[in-house]
Amino acid sequence: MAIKSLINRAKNIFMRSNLRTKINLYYLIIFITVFFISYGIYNMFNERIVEKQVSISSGQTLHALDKNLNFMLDEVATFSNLIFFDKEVQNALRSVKSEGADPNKVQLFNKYLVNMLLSGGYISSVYLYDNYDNRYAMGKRGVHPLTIDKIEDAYWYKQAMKLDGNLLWVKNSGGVLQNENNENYISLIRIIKDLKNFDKLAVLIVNVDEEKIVDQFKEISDGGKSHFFVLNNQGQYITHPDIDVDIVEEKIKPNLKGSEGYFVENINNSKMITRYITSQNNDWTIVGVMPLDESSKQWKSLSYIAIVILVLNSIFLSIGGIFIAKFITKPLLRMQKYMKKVEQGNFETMPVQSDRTDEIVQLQKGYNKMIGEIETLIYRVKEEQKVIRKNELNLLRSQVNPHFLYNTLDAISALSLLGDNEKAFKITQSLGEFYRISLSSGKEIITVEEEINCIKSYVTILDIRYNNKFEVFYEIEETILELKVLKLILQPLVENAVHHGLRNKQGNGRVEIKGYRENSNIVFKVTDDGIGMSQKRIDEIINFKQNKGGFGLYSSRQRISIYYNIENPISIVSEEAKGTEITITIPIME
Amino acid sequence: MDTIKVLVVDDEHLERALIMLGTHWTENGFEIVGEADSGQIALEKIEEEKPDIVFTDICMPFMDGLELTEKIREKYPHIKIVIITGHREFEYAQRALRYGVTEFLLKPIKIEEIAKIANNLKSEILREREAVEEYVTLKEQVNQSRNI
Repeated sequence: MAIKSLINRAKNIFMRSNLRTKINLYYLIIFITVFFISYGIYNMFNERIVEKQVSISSGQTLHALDKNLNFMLDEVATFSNLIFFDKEVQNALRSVKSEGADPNKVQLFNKYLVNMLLSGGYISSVYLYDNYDNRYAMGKRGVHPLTIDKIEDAYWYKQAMKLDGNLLWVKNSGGVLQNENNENYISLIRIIKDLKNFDKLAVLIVNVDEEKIVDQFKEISDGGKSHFFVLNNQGQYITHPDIDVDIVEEKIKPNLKGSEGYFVENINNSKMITRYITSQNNDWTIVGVMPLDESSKQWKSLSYIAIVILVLNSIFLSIGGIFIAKFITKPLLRMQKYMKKVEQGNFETMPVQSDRTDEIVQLQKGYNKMIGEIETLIYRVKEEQKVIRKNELNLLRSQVNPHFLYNTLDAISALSLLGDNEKAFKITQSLGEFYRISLSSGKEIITVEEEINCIKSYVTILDIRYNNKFEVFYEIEETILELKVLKLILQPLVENAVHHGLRNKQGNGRVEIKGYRENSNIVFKVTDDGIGMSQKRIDEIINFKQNKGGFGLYSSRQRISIYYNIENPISIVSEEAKGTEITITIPIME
Repeated sequence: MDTIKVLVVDDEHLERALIMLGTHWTENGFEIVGEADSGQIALEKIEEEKPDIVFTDICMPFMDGLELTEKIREKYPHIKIVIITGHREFEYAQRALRYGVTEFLLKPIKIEEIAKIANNLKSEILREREAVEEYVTLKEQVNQSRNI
């Protein structure tokens, strides 16, 4: 939980910090990650390369050792040849016919054996057993008796016989000889054959001190840091390692696979590379265990250089990151300044940096464009609001219709003075009806019947005022009378027909008002036989162009259009001097 | 010779009636010389009757009150023209004055206003007539003394 809250806090601080800090931090994290990853990869490859290199060089060492070893063993073999192929020895062995040593023969054999001891410095002892188990032996530190009854009982005897005079190398004479001092040596065992009939004449055992071989290893063991030993194909130590045998048994022996190879193991807390090869002349395995750290010192220094390069790179890249952050954040800060101005209502475009063409400049251009658009938008909204307010005012004015009211009041006054009570009553009633409906306490929606009544009242008033100068005919379908419509949807059209169509006409006029249902629409038609309109005027009304001639039709069209959300609710057909037909089509309201 | 001739112009007969019935014209030294329901007829009547005051509605078909005023002013600069209007805006009044309108009678008509405006105009007209008469007398006297 504590870690989680800590992470959250770090996250919060990061989120709240400014862009430059974020970019820098981002860079830093990336560089650290990249640094460790590349260092890791480098090290991995480096280690492999080092191991390979070390294995090659140590392989060369092992092959050299192998050569020396073989040279030595070949020499021992050569010395054994001196006995094997000697006529005198052959004859002497052939002539042994019984147990018990013939002193002459003993003397002869001893001479050869001593020669052998003397010629090969690393030969510690030589044993010769004839077919009657007579033993002739010479040793630098004395000779030892057999541990078995007969030499034929030795476990390697059959193998040696099969080799038919060729060489057999075993460890410590294969336990055939007594070994009180636990000396370690390698024994060459060879069956001496009769050169005439290839019968067995004797068994020769030549012992070589292990120490003598190990001495050779020590010369190249790098002051005891490297360890070498030899195993035969049964895993026995031909020469013993000078490290803990348990470690060898546990960590090295199981990994010796194939004829040669290498592997790396941690031994006594240090990395050791084990390199092994199979000897050229026999099936022994020569193993070298060498410290990897020592041999990879030169490679280490290379990796230090790599680290230095990486660190330098990181520093340069980090500095680059800081510059990049500045490069980006500086213009952004500038933009912020301009945005603050906008907050205060100052729509100022910012200068575009002409010397660069990157995203920043596009941002600046986009910003400027946006500012321009916002400005026009605000202007448009203001204008629209003006139009809406004007329309509201117009509606109010058309509802109250002051000039109509004034004129009618004057007419009432005149009628009263004239004593025409009937007409005065009629006109007053009609005026009341007209205003009751057209104001209708602020309601927007009335029935068709109410609208028609409003028109009828209006017409009655005009009839009296203008002395029946025109006639109005109604043709309203019964079914639509109860339907709801926008208030004063029709009255302005009648007013328009009367004022612009008929009053300007000589003689009496005629207005027809039709209302019917067509599918889901209500259609109203107002037709007059007045002076008509020019096409120009029709276009002005249809295209929302206000003209001073009278807002009646124009604002009516606009009001219906806005209220019903229809683009063209009104269509006008007119011929000058003949008349006008105006059609309103509106959907039936629920 | 002392009566003031009045012409009433309006396309609504009741409006004309209201003006004509609105005050005791004859008792006060006025004479309604005629009424017209359009500007055209009004001009004809002016030619015939030579009125001193013309009451005209502003809103009429074919020729509106201001146009009529302009036409009257061309030929008869001394005729007093009273515009009957529902408009109360200052700009509108200024425009009307530029056309040569003498007075305004606001709708809906307050009956006393008719007499008041008429009387004001009457005294003005009489003053003007006196001035003209004085001028004529002086001129005659000058002519007479020249003859002597």
